[in-house]
Amino acid sequence: MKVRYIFLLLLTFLCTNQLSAKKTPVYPVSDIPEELKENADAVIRFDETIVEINSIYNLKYSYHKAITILNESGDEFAEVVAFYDKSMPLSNLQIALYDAEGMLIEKVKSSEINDYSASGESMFSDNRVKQYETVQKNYPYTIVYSYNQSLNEYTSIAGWYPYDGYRCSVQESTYKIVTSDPTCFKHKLYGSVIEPEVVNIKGQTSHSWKASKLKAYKHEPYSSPYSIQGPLLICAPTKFQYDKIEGNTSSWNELAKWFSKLNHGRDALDENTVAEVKEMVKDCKTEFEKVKTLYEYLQNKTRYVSIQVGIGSQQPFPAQDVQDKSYGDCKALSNYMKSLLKIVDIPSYYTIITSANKQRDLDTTFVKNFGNHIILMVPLQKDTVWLECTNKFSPCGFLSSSTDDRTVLAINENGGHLVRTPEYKMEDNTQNKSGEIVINPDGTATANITEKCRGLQYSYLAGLSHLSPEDQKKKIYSDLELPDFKINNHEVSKELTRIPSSVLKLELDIRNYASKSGDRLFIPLNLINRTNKAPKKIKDRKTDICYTREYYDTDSIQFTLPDGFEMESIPEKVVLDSDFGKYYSEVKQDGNTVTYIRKVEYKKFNLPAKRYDDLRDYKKAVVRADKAKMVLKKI
Amino acid sequence: MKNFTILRTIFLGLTILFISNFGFAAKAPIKFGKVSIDELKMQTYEKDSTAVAVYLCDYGVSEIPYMNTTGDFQYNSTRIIRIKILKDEGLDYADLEFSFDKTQCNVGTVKACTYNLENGQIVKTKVSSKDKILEKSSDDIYTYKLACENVKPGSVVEFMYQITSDIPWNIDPWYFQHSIPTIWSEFRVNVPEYFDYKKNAKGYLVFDINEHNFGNGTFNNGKTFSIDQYRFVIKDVPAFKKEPFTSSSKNYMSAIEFEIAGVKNNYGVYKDLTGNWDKINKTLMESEYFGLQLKTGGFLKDVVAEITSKTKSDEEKILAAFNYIKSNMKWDDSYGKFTTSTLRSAFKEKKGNVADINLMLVVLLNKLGIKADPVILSTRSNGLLSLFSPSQSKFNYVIASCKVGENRIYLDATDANCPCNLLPERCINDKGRLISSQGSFFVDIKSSSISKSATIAKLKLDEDGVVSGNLDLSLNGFTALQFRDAIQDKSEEELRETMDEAYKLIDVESVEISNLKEVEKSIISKMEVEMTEELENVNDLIYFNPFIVNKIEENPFTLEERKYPVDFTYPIDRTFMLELTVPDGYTLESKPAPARINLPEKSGQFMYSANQNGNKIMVVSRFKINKRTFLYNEYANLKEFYNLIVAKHAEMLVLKRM
Repeated sequence: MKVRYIFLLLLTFLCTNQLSAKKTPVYPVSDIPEELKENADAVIRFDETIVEINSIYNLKYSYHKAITILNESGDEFAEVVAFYDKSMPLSNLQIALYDAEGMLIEKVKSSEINDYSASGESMFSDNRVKQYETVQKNYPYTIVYSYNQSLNEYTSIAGWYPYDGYRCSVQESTYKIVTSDPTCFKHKLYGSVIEPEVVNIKGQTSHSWKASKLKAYKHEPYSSPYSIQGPLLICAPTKFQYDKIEGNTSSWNELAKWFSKLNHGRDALDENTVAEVKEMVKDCKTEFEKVKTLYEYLQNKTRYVSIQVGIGSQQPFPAQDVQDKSYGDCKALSNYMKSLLKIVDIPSYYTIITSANKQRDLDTTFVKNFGNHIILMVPLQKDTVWLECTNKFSPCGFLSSSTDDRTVLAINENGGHLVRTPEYKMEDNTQNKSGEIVINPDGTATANITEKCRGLQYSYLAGLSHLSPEDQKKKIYSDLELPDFKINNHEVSKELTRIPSSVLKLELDIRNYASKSGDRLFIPLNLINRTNKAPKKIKDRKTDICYTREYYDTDSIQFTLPDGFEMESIPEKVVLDSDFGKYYSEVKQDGNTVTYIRKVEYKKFNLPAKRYDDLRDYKKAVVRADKAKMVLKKI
Repeated sequence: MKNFTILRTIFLGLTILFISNFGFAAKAPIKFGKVSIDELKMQTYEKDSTAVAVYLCDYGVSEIPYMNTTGDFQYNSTRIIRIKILKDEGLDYADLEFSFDKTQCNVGTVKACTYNLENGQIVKTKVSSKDKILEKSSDDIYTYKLACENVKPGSVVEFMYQITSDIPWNIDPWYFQHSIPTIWSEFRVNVPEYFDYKKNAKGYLVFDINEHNFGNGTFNNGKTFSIDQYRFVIKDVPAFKKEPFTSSSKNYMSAIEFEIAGVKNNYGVYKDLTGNWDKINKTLMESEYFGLQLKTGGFLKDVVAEITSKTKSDEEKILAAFNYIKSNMKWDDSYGKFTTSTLRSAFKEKKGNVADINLMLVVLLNKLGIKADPVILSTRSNGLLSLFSPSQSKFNYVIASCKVGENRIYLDATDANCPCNLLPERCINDKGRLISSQGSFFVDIKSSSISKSATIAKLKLDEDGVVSGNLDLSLNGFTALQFRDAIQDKSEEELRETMDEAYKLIDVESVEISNLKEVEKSIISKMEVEMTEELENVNDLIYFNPFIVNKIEENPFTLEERKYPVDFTYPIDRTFMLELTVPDGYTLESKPAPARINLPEKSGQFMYSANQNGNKIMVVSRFKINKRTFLYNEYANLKEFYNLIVAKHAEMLVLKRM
């Protein structure tokens, strides 16, 4: 007890000392090494996180940070944002500002710090946020702040990632965990080989990691998310307790058991509902049909409302609540769907997932509480059905690009295990445009085009199908890259098969389709699916290039040429093959009919930075090929 | 708060039993809870089959009853909303969210209920009180949130809420239009004769009912007072859809506003609260946060001396003062016509809101012997001013103005990239009111400057198809401002990358930009560019489209018709010139015909020509929009104008080897 007291005292002294210094310069800009200013709008001068684990009932964070803002674009890095709620109160938030020489400009009064509800998109939430933004005329300036946070329940421990974003370098960043029981947490470091410094003082062990002089990254096209750069430390408690339920991270099954207990008894539904559900599936011939029937029932009955109140951020509301209110968040709706399936004896798994476009995949060897979303896994005899329960329009069994191809934790009543969600392949993610375009002598055209999208390409047109016909038309008008046109007819439809597809049929009158210059008509072959621009030229590319999904596009357009013209120039066949994809286009003439065929494969890749120029060359060749025109001349 | 005291004094002593007599001839259009079977059976809304949900009725009553308990008038407003959910996409309309200022208002009853038809019976699901969340959004602002339960397409949802306030005259504007259609929108206002309001109707819709009746209220001493009873109804209100090139939705959405003009005590003495323009002018000039600040300025003594010693003409002084404020004061991104506190403290802290900065500029100019005045205005997002109904509260911004010779110029020192006499886009909203101790008057603040750019390409075409050369850019007015805002703080290499990204067809090899910080001058950008893409070389022919940049490829006006005006914000003037050196032995076999297209009254102009001179081909295109706003009946012309330009810009040069 005494030791901790001294430690805290020391910590407080350190913080206040930094904040109150008036005469000695604090983080003067002259101390920033030149290389850290390169491509940087801000420099993290000092960043220290201290995690103090006192017991499974108590964990404290102390944050202390100093950032120098070099120019106006860097202002965003100066925003102080601290989330808190009743279960994790915030204390001792201090903010001070210094000029370039390191002289105090002002200490921020607590009345100047905003205090907002942090519900964001969430309908119900008791999260709050303290927020402060400064207004400074002169650059550079430095903002120094510190605060503490104490948690009486926790299931995870904040890790360490020194960077704040692109265009921000790091002069010094440290992370320290202090505890009397070093077995109460575990850790793993990625992207670096920093050895922690371990110190024992009077029964307290501290592990600290330190990084210094990390240069700023700027965004480059086709790069992985920036979090892959630099060191990343993840931590987790070995044991924890939440809502009076103990859990541990010794294995994925053990962690899953904790969720099982948390969800225990939340699947009960009243007799009427049970009878209704049984009635609904009585004519279903297969298990999949039952799943589909109940899933559609869920989609028709419920809507998604985000709830972040109290334990609601970890535990689903009971299934009966969803039955009564017809709304819920991802936890409540997934648990409800699971409960419906249970009535008809179909077991399913409440599944924890990180919903996002591709990031670093989950490390299966490091057990920790993770994720930001819940979906449902239903293993049937022949295959596994995945259900997204928060979306009224999702096809039964099809995931999206924010949930596909990643490791997830599937939980049932007795525990659980890791599984991978399906990866959608090139042959699944297709797009096909076909149709006829009749060219008139004045350059106008009438077009009948059918576009069919499948798999991960399904969603754009599917999204269109949820709009009113008038809004569909408006969206088509704004999205189609045609010079000037009129939609005579349009029709959107979708097929909710296991790999869903969506179809758009268009009848258009296009003005200026072909450009008339003197005696000639210039007819673009690909106006509807062209690649417009190769990625920008970058001198000295730094980051590896990658692309995380596969697609396959095929187009086939038949042109009818006007009478009274002859072909002057017809583009040659183009065949391109690269590590990034394949391209094929061909134009065939038969009398006044011309057929244009185009096939493009988009491959997954993860290649060194030096291949960027090759990627650019390939894309430029594609742009050039897509721009091809045939030229007709008046006879 | 000051006005509040006035009112208290006026009605003090009238603590007599009050008999309510707010009888209305017309029945209320809707009663909470009385949903009909027909409303539940409704499948689609016939007048707009695409509607995802529809307001069956939106009914509001705002009134000012006398409260004998407090001896004062109070403000009460009640709103009942009944919505039919027609499609899944309309389910969001089953959530209610409203915010209020807790220092001024209290929320009374809040009710919400869902109605479904099950086996021919109406089934009600009420939202229980524990599911109504009152959330503190910030210090004074609270938000009420609730979500209806058991909602599906076919459901009817109903909300009711009441707000009371001790500050009687704040009647919120009533919007008749929503993002979904409304079958019946009704707003009633009952105000005692003591309160005088200015009514201001906006939008394109016409009232179906517009009534003004009189009722009575009685104090216990037997004295009666008259009550003005207004009733406004619009039926079958279409959904409001935003269109591109529109200034602010608020300008076009149908609404009625009540703004307090004055109060009268029971002896008949009228106290003017906003009154006429003279009154507004006087109030502002006497305000501690406006006029009185204009009389300060001792803190600027050194600055005045410094500028005076370094400048001679008025023009120099104006520019020096403008630049001084721009480089020494940082704008905190907040609007307003009143200063935060004093100009002196803003000066000390080197930051402030719009009024702190621009009133300080007025003071500095006056100290330098230049007669300058503030001009108050309503920003684009705040909506257009109503010129015939004087009201102070519509103004949310202030700029500085002075005269150079006979010309009046306008200055806004909040944006360091803004040159003298060019206002940022947010300020350009038709008119502003110049405020001075001699009186006030309207001034035009349609933009004084235009968005002007000139691009000169000097390119050489190789026989093997490589096009390379220089691209020079000169930007003025808004284009320069936008450019400076977009690229500030970027290194030279990043600038090159940005330009490379901005141009579809060409690779930018190097960029050199001048006058980036000298905002009074044009931006001059010199680039070395290269491309190989646009060339087609067959049968000794070369087809070449001259618009390697600045090509207008698509008509921005795609919709067949338009309901609201097209607002360009500022006039446009864009010139493109190409000097293409062709390989020896090639000649121009076919070139686009010259063109000259004008919109009526030269509100839009387009000029195009292509010529050969030796081994050089010259192409010139100039595109001008001279008018800021085009009405809906001019839309077809504007669309056609763009269409002709698109056609012209697509035309090709054909070169042939001799």
